[in-house]
Amino acid sequence: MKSLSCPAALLALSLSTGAFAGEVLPFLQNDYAAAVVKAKAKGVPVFVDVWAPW
Amino acid sequence: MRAYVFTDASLKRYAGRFVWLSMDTERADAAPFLEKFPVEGWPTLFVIDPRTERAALTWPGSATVAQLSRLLEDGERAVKGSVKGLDAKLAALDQAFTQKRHEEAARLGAKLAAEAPKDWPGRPRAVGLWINALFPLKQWEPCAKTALAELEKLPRIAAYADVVNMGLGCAGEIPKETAGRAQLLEALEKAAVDLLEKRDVPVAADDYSGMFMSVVNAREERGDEEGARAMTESWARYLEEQAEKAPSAEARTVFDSHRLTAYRKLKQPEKAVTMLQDAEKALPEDFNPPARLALAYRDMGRFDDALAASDRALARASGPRRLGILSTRAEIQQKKGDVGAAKKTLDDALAFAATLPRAQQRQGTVDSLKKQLEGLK
Repeated sequence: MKSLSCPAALLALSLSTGAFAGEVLPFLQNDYAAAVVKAKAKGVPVFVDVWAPW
Repeated sequence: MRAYVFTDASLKRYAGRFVWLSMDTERADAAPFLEKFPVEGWPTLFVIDPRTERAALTWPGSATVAQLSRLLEDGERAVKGSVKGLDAKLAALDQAFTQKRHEEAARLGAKLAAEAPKDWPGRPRAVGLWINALFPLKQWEPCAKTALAELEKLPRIAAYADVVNMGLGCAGEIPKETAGRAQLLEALEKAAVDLLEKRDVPVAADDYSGMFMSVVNAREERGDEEGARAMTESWARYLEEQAEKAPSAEARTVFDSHRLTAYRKLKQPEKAVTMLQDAEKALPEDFNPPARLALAYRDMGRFDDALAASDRALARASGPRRLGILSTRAEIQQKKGDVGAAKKTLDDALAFAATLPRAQQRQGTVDSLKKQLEGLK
């Protein structure tokens, strides 16, 4: 669970990559303000996956 | 998680209960989010109350489908304010951890883990947060000892593997002269090897791969070179098997970085070349395959090919991700004997780092680039 936090190391080690097909959840991309507005309107929380494409 | 967790059809039941936000921290438009919610590791998961724009819950790392489901349920309840009993105590622990009150989080985690029945479903997450809170406090020995003690109490679920991994990481950080360090490392390594042999804990292949890496690192820490090499060979074989089974090119590339690391540790970087060339063809917009190729070619002494791969990576990369590529580029130029070009690359990297939005500036990376430049003088 604990992930490495050094970007240089992560260039070699991280398992993250770019976009994946077949996601079943309707993710907004990088638009925090829009997510908050939408969540307020729907009365639901915002779930955020913070990642990096190393 | 993007390849193997968020694609799981069982998560559809949560689709309308949250607004879903994917935040790539390397893009310039991530800055407003990162100003509010700085992260120290990747991935980090948040459940945020949109009325207050405060995080109800922060999870430092990846999660299996089962762990994510539990996080979503807990986060939703916390935002609704409908928690009581042990769940309320877990929500208080979440708040302390989210607000980086790590001493309080460690104390609350220890208390909750002691108080909760062993079979309470929230207990594994409480233990995970407790051990995680000890990381920023650099309480390496309590962390390793807690992890080892908790292994006897945790069921063999994903949290068990997380605790083994974190415990091993902490044990490796204990100062070498500390009495009992070797025994802690050995006991946690034994638990990790047992997991790798049985593979009975339902975690993703990348989590097992992380476990292999932890064992390799632990053996290197103990000076067991032969054991480390044998484990690295098993790790490479495991990754090759998983890549073979991957359902798509995108899913296959998930294993590329660890495979490259394993091959480089085995001093066989040439084994990574075809894999990375294939990845570059399949994902022509992605900077990762050429950035990794640059590392493999550098190790092979093919410096011109390494620089060409670095050029391709830089053409596709933006934001702070460029800094790592430039650092590798300077190393290649230095090895090629062109110290002047290496210095210029590092000067350019530092100048570029200064232009990044504040939330994307990472002091550790800047310090590392400065140290690299200093080493050239």
